[in-house]
Amino acid sequence: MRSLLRRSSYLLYVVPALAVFLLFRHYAIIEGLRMSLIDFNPRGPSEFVGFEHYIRVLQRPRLFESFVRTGYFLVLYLPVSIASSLLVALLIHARGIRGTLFFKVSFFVPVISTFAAMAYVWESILNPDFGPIGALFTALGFEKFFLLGSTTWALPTIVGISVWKNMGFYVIVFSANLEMIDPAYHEAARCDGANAWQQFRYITVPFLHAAFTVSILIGLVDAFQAFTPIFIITAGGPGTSTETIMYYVFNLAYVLSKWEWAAAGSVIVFLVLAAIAAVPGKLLKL
Amino acid sequence: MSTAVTTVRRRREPWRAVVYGLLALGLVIFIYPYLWMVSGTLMTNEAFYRGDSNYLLPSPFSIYVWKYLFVEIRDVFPIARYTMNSLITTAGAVLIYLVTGVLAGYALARKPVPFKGVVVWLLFATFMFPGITLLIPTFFVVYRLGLINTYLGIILVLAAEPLPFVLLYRFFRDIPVEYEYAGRVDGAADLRILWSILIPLAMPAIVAAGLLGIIMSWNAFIFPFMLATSTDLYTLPVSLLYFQNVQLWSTAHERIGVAVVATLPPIIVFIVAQRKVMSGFTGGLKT
Repeated sequence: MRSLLRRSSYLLYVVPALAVFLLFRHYAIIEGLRMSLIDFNPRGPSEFVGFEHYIRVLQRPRLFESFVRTGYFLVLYLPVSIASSLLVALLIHARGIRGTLFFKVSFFVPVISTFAAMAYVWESILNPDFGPIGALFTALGFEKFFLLGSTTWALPTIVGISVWKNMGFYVIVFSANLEMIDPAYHEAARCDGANAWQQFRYITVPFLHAAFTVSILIGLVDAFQAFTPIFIITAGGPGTSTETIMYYVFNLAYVLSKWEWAAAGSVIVFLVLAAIAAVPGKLLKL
Repeated sequence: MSTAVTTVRRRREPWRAVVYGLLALGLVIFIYPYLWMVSGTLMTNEAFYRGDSNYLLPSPFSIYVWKYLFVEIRDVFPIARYTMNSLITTAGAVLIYLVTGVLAGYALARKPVPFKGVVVWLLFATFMFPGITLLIPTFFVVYRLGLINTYLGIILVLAAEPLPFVLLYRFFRDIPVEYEYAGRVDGAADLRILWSILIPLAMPAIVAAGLLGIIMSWNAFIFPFMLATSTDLYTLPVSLLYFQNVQLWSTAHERIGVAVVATLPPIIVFIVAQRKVMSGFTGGLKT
């Protein structure tokens, strides 16, 4: 009996943390689900409407288009950020290269920076009239033009800014994994006459399994969450060329005041993301 | 012997130069925007719009941006107040989740808490919900609690962040149980053991979680934006958006001044404790 009491007293340690999480995560999830199924009435009882909001949202072609755009974002973002961060991780761990920590720290600075602020800075850097990119274009003999003002280039540019922002994180993931590989494997392979590519392909890559899994999953979430630079810089434009799914769902609430639609949209996004995230898990035998 | 070594070294020289060259190029892309923004705030309006900042040379030197932001428009755009709001919300959020996280992490990692499996699962499951898909629902919850447009509302939402908790939980789990025996022999109570033995041992994880929390809360943008309906409660990142929208008195030049103020504190924290911050962000991965 005393021990039961004692055990129960440990619940007190857990309650504060659990309360915060239950309220702002779990209850938020439930509340979001509930909101997507009712017509919200702030003054009286809300009316249950079933899947009406889902049907309404799914009928909007812009929802589908913004999903496709998020897919495009993902297809650009994932390979570029994984390849570039893997390259950087390999370079800073190459034999005889010094300053590994210095490089890791430098590439990590954008990760800890306020994205909202750096989005403004990038907008100015890309400005053709006074920014360095415009000057660079002129120096290379191209016509000056505002990348973010072009329906073709705006989204890839936003992807580029997002890669810049997050790459340092992936570098750490890959480099932590690289540091766990026993150098003896590479030495043995070298003795057997394996060249650099063969060593990379048959030793490094298989050992990086964990880092690939983590970075693909995080990359998926990053791409689906792409929001801040779009909100700050392009507001979905020009036209709707940078309107990704989260930006569209946010706008349902923020601009159209269709909070129930936005709630339904959030649930749909989550389901799609969960379904897609299950794929790399399966492929990489997570 | 020595000639053999020198030939090998010389043979590798060009290869190594290429690696350093590529890394240097990457470094320029990653660090240049920061140098550009700082140098941009140290020149006149005309020089900035002429593109002088591209060469990172603020000449003629001018503190026009800083005077404008902190003196001229301080009544309509109180940047000191926004900085204060950022500090209040960040400090509040970090304090809450360090206290709740240490207590819960300790008990769940080392004590026979009833329903432990369920509790741990509940806390870890929040990881699966990317923050932004919860944006709209979180607004409803805060609204129901009557905490829209309050510091507490913003602080609590920022504190509901699973990553620091996971960090603390793992660290407590890995402290050998022998450390507790010493206290146990002296008849110390659980809280006393936690306070005088385990917390000092867990300091590396607590510091990492705290730094992570400082940076994440400070940088938070969309949640504070949604939850603050009056400009009085704007944090620095949110004030940037406000500054941009009131185009009567803001142009790109002054805007990067606000951006410098907003980005500087996390960078200072990072420079002071690089390894700790990186390991915090990656959930304790070796850096």
